[in-house]
Amino acid sequence: MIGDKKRTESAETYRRRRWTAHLGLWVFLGSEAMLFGSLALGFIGLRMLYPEPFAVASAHLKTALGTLNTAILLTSSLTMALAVHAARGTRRVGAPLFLFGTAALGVLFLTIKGYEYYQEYHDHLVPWWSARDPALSPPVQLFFVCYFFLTGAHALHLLLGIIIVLMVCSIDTFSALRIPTVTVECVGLYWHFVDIVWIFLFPLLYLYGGPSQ
Amino acid sequence: MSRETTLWHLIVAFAMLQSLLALTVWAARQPLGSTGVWISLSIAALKALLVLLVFMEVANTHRTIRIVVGVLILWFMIWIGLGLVDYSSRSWPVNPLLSDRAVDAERLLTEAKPL
Repeated sequence: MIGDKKRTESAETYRRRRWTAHLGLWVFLGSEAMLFGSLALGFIGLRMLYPEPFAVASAHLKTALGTLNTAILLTSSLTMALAVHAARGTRRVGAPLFLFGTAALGVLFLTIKGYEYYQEYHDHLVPWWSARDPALSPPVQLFFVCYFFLTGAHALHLLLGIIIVLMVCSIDTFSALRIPTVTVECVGLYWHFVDIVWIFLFPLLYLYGGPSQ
Repeated sequence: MSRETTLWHLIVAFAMLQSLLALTVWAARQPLGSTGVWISLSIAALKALLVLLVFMEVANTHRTIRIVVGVLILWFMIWIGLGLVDYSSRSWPVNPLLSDRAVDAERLLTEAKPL
């Protein structure tokens, strides 16, 4: 009887702990949504002011690489969801494996993004570093300021996500400590949020210069 | 949690997300004019909803958290909506929502400059 009561209390404590952690993380994600929303809204406002230069500037971006990166990030969301699924199961061996896969896909995303940045630097599209191309009008340069700010903020969030995922993964694999399932769930929520941000950034930045314009 | 998200749910959601990505890129290549952007953003919203409901398990989570997430999205939409209404109602020289009038206004402004 006492054992049953203790187990019930323990389950109730866990349920409350999980609920509190999720609620706190959702409030944090809400504040992050306000940050990215402000940046995106500012971009849309400028885009309304300079529609043609922004479409011209968007055509300079590598849509194929952007599409590939979106596919990679969506795949990383699947591996993260699989990690959470595995962490909840009785056999947790799959969880660190899926977490490592998620981090690897995140690194791949950043590598491709870095290559894109290099190409843009090479094409003199970075407004404050490379020698400015006189053919680029100020509104086109403004687009690239927004582009680097938005994608840079996203990349920093992704980098933070990769570090957290690798920390959770390594603690779970190499130490005697077992990471609680709720921690994996919260890391997963953050990762999916970063994925959602990119889902909106991709059409907003990359698909403005296509034939639909 | 009322229901667990199964592996099957995750795989179906992933396949739908990749299909919607292909649809986004295809739509961007069609000559749809300014509506193309809004179609791409609508597809993006659909993808975000899928991630929220299936991967982030909002559909299966605690009722209070569902309310919190719903309210967060509602406030976010109101905020973005008001921002867009504000932008589109300003008398900027070039405004895509008032394209013909805006182009006329810009031409008049350009012609008026020498005076």
